[in-house]
Amino acid sequence: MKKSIEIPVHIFFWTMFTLCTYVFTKMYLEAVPTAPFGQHLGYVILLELVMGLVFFYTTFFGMPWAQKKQSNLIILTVILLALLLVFAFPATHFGVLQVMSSILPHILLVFLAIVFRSAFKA
Amino acid sequence: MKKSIEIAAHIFFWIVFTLFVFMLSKIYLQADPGAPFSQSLNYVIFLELVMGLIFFYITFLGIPWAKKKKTNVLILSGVLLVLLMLFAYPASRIGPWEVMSSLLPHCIVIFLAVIFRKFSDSLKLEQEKQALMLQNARSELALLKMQVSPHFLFNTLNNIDYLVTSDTAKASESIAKLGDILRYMIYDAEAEKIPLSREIKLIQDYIELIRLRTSGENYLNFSITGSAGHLQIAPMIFIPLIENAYKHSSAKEGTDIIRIDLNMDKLRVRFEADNQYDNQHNGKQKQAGGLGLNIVKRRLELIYAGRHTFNVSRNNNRYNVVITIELDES
Repeated sequence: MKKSIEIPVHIFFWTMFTLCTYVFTKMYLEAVPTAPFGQHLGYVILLELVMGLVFFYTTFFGMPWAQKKQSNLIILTVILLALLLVFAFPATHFGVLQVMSSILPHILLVFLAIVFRSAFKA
Repeated sequence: MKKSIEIAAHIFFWIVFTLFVFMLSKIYLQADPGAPFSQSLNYVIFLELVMGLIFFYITFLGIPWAKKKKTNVLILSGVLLVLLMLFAYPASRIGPWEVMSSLLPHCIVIFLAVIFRKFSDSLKLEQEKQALMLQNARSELALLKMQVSPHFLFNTLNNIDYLVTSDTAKASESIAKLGDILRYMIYDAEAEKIPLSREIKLIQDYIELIRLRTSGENYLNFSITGSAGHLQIAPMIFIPLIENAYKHSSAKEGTDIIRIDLNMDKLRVRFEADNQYDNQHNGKQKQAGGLGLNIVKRRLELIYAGRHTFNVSRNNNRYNVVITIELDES
């Protein structure tokens, strides 16, 4: 029963996430057709989705392991920080706002992964 | 503690949400300076935040109420749908993408409010589970203490019954000792922890009772090393083991039949009960002594989890129980 609720919840969340990314990217690219990857909407959405999935499920599946030992928690934090930096690096060529636009949604996803994990724990 | 985690999670979520809205609006308005409200970034952010808060907390606070009746679910869904349409209406004059850009984030906010409600319920459930476990542990502990008392009383009365016919003076002395022990059990053993020095006094009194029945001073050797200082211990931990050692000794006369050692070193106390037994009694001791040993073992697990050791061994007709406990100071 628990799993049968949890899986649709995840599917719904990622559907909404993809739709949201699609709408915002589409609006932005319509306003700025010359933006990098402006001609590759599908690629931009796929990239955002993959990065989101990586952050979300690294945290989601890493949490039970990280709770076992303090050193595990440090390792997971370092991995997430490294991923944040790696994914935000290309945005540094464009500006501070673009770096923030990479870091903030990913922090939000890490946070939501923790909330999701805790919400379905009991 | 759980409430503070929940509040912190909400605050963190809304801070990140606001920053996210600020960043998206800023990027969009920089790209399209002619967009409506492009000169009022703060107003846009404020509006988005207020709308987000409305959707989130109507859902979050409405769920417990909606769970009560089916009609409540319909009312809540209706209210949310009306709000979604109301807030999306101004965007309909600009274009379908703008309508979507209003509807989708609000749907996500509603969905996240449901997840946060589940998170909150799960924290509450965990808290209740812990409280229940604590309650169970306390009940179990009370039950174990109650089991110790009749077990002890039964054996002591057997001792006195034997003395009444053989030596009335000794019987009277035994009753006085028993009175002291019962006083201890009624007034002191009710506490979760008592001074170790009081527990030692009980052991000494109890051993005195045993010695009244035995052949001489050397039948039971009791030694104490170290100082009890201000150490605290759960009451009646060692008595069942002394009872067992006496009850299951193979010989009722002789020397060095039972050895009881109590050693205190800083916060650590080591108790050893060693008694002579023969193989014929082996099975009996294993069965009958099982109750006393199990009670002590269970109490140690409940009170001194991860802070004690409990070892039982049988070698060369000697039955040996060793307990070490890391105690607390008062």
